[in-house]
Amino acid sequence: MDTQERSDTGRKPGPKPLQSSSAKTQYLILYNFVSAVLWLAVLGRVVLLVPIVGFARVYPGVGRFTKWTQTVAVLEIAHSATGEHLASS
Amino acid sequence: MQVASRLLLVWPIVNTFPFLARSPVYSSMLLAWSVTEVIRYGYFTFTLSGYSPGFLSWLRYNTFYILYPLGISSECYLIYSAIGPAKQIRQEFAWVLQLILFIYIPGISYHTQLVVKANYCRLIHPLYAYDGSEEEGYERKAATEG
Repeated sequence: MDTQERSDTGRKPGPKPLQSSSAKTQYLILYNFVSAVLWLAVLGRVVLLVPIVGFARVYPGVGRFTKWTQTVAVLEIAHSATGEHLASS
Repeated sequence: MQVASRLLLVWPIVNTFPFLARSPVYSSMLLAWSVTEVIRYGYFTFTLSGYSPGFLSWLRYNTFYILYPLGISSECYLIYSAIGPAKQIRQEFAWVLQLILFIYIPGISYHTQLVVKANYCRLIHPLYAYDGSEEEGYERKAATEG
């Protein structure tokens, strides 16, 4: 069971990586990955904009990007409608 | 529900009344949303790929108690601030916002109960009590259920 030991990052292969994944799983991995990156960009911009330009000018810097990033999440309504609850909780 | 309330903030409120976003509350809302979403989507990306992200899993369940109140209070404040300007556009718009603010109360209670229950289950269920046993538990469950 020593091979089951994990590092602090918690990344280790599960019992069945990718081999059995369907096209839908592949799509959901992509969707979640892209969403994570988009939100990371929002986070980065907010963290940089607040000290540089101040609260009042955060919106011109990140408002449009956030608006569309959040709008992408309407896809999750479709995901849950087709029975995939992973990305809709 | 969460997607709907976020879309409400992003489109009818902040997009219609951009001056509301000059408040620091807009930044605190974005901070709460973005940290939550980076953890949540990152967690799903790893889980769906067949990895068990113990660290992200821990973050997902433990940052809730800070990020959820921060996000929800920021949202409520911005909705409340929008009622006045909305009234000047159309009275019905203001009524809808007041109604939505009212709906937030059971929504908060319901969502909090769900998360607290999920956390409680993780605490008392030995299979989920520490990292590394999740796959075992899953496999055993899958095996017994056929």
